[in-house]
Amino acid sequence: MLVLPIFAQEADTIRSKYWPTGVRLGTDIFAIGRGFADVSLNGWEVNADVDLYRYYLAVDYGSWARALQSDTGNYSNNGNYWRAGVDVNFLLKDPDRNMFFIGARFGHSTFSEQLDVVTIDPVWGTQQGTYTNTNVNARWLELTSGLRVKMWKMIWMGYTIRYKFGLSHDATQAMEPHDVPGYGRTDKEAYWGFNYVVLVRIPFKNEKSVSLKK
Amino acid sequence: MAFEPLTYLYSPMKTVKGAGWFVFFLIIAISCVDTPDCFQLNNNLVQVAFKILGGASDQVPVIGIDAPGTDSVFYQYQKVSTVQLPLNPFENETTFNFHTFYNDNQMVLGYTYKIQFVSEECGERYIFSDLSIKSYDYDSVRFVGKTLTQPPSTNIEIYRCPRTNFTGVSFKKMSGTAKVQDTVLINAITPNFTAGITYPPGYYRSVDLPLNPNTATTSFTFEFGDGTTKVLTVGYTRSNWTKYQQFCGNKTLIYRLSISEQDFGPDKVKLALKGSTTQPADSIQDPPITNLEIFK
Repeated sequence: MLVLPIFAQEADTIRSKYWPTGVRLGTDIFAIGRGFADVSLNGWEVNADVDLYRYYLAVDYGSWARALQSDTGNYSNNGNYWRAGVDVNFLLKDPDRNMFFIGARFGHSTFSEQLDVVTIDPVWGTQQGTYTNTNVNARWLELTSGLRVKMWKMIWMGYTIRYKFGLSHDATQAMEPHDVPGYGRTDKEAYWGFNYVVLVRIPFKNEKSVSLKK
Repeated sequence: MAFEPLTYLYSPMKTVKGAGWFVFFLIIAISCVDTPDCFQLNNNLVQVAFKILGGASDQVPVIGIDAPGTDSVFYQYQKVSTVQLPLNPFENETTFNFHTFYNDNQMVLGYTYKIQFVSEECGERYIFSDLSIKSYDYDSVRFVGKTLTQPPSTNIEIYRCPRTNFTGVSFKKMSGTAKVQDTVLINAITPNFTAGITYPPGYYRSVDLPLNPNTATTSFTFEFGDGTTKVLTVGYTRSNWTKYQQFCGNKTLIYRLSISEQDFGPDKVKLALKGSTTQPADSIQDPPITNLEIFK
């Protein structure tokens, strides 16, 4: 009977330790910037994460469309994607909640694409064709790392580096996808990605009662 | 999970900032070198190796390899042991007709393909897979692999029965005291039996001539481009050869070649020597070796 209060106190500590203190909502300004710099790309991405002690549940949702032109054809695609996963913060004692993290994501994309092409083969001649993939589902995994730095009051900035791999999709037999929204080009086993995000942190009510110390 | 905080990282934020810039520029550098190589994007070449039963590599004197759907003729007048043939990217099968000095054969290959846009610089590429042999009329064919690679690796091995009656004849000339290769214009070479082989008019450095396995001698009439006609008669010894009887039937082994008659002139036709030895190369081998030298 004497040890019960101690157990209750430990349970409260654990609960408060893993209780989320706030949610960060933001957008990828790198994706928006690329849209201005590269007329063939039009895309946006929004990001959110919520802290559970040193672990952050992270979710991204975005969209991109590409229109590319070669000497022999025109390619275009558009689609939406989401990623979900966990980041582990290694700057646990930082009073400003600055964050250096390593994490993992599962990514999913639904997209359509079309290729209009005139193939000129030196042996077999010339043939014109239109190939489409409609509502293709693609999945992949990511290893992530990056920083989040508090800039001013509720404003945070940071970047995420993504190592994307394990892409699979259910595209048709006729055309192999060129570019998967959220993933990138498909002709490599693995692909690098980069986000530069601006976030607004909305604290929860009980934030002051939660200790940042271990 | 038992991650320990990295204390050295967060005390001086300079370290974090520096590391951040380093990684940022690293990513930019990686993205810059991420442009595709436009050279040989397609994996549309199927590689065929020619072999002799028993495993030895064959040297096939190809007149040409053609395919319906294209005017191209591949490996025209070449002696080859392997060929790399382009698959038709607009069909799911390609028929190749192999025309050689010995015979004509056909092989039909099936496959699947996908198109993929590569980049604005490179355009599109075709990705071929699931190669199969739909039909062939060779003695024996071994399917090595259905995967088409870039650069190509052997997908198909074509085997034939050993030919035991072809003698190699090389044209030579003297340059000072040295014996050198010669090239002669030949309109026709006609053996004195039905061999089923024609030698199209053209320039030759060497020819493989069929010996009649049913007689002890074989004569050849050479019609040269300068209008002269010469006759060569080759004598030999024969014996039965049953090594691949199950697949190839009875074969006649030919050896101890000799020059029975010739009207090229004194010392104009000689038995060749085995390499740098003084031994005459007087037995038939497959692929043929040079048994006879003609000094035109």
